[in-house]
Amino acid sequence: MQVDWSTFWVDILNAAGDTLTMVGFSLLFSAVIGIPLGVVLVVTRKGHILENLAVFNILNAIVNVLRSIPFIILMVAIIPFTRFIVGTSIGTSAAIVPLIVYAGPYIARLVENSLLEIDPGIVEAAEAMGATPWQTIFRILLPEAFSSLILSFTIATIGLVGASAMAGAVGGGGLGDLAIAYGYQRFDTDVMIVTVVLLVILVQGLQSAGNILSRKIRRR
Amino acid sequence: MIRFEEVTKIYESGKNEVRALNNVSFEVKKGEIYGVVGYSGAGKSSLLRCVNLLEKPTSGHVFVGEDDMAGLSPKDLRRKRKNIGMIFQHFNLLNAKTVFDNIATPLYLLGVKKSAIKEKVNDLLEFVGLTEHGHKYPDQLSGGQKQRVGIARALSTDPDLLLCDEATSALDPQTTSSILKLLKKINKEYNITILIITHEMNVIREICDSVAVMEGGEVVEKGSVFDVFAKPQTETATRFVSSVLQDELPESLKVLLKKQDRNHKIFRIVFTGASTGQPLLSQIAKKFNVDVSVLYGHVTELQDVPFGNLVVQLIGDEQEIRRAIFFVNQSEVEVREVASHAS
Repeated sequence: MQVDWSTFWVDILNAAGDTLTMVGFSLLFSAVIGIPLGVVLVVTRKGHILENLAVFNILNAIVNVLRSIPFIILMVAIIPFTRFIVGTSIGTSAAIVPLIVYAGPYIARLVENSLLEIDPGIVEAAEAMGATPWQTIFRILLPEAFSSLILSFTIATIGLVGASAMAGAVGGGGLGDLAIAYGYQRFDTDVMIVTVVLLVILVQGLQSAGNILSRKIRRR
Repeated sequence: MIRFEEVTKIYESGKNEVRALNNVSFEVKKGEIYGVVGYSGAGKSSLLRCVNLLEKPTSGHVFVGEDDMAGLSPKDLRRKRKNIGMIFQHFNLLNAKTVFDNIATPLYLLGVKKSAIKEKVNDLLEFVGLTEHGHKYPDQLSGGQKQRVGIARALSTDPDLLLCDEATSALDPQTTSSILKLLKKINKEYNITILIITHEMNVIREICDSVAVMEGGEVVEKGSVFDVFAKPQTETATRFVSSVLQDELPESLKVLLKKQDRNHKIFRIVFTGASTGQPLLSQIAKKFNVDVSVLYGHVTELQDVPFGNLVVQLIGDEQEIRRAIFFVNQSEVEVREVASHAS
């Protein structure tokens, strides 16, 4: 089948815009959920500043359950919830809901890992200084982990680009939708190649930007 | 300043119980530098952490000033901790912050005004000799410089007490010595009481006034550094003392001594204070029919008092040696026989 290139580029631009919208919004909201969740997973664990094993174990289990559901199944499974939140189960805004449910716990784990990289001695020093738990989190832990957090968020963003492409399968729009609709279902290899190349460029760009930013913050 | 009263700390891991501290009691007086020495696993680190309650004693009490630490509310504990500086073996500096901000951190946490912080931090930078390095990051500094930052940070809130957790163990001997001098200066100039834990006896020798020797979670010996060095009572203390005041003779020397055919005995003589100046050995040689040979000698300073340690060989008749030693015992020195060889 021959592609009509004059309308094709418009479609591509729209799809790229949809992808960025999905990734952008879901990143924002999943960060709002994931960062506090990650912090709580660190500070409530055994021996940490706000040790509370009940809270830790419950949140840990929830994160594990959500993290173990494949995105494509999660997306379908939570359709009633999605409809409740945004009023519809198809389209870009409907795709954002499962993306948040998917990326929130993911970001929580990444934040947890970044914070756990900090030498426990530094937390001990903060305690010895008489820092409150709040101060330890905001003045010590998060600033110390900042550079590592940037890299974590780069990974999360790239994960969201991949997941948003899958959201295309349920009519979420975006580059993934385009690749599936034209490339996969209509055997239009050219379109598939163009969209895949665009996704590669997007991922490369995100990773480089993340690396540069992280290095800047680490300063050397 | 600090009073440990029957402090016991038990760690439970599963079914195992580890008794890190067992009924430890002693007192650190205001203004002194108190050293706790012990091998790793002796419980020093737990002991130190019980002072600012980074670890809570399982039983017993730790008083700092008038306050029973375990009895303080979280808020009072945080206020109290601002009065207790702490420095660490691995410095525990904030890597993402400059030297200046590291030193300023306790003040930021207190909400001190920016201008006051700047003045205080600059004073501290000067005091620890890092004026030129305020804008640098910790990974641009040497170990000794990092510890100076740690010290400045600990001093920023004007504490009465400084806790040193193996503060020189990660440093080379020369740097160790300069850090110890700095600690002594802090003690003298600011009258800050210092509690040091270490496994290095030379740290105790260089700056401490009093020492406690720990083993297996217990304080097995304590006293003034002078007394413990001159007359260690326990085997552990003796081993620590001889790690810095060598009184074990080298093997090669022992072999040579065994080959000697004349009757001789070997003594360790410890001179303290004024007796260090006595011409004791030449008096022995003149008064008695013995030859004196110095095998090993060492003079050092403990708490600003000279402290000499000699290993000498007395050669002559049994009778004469005994008379000579009787004479030595009359003066203010410690004598102990190390080895004898009768032919």
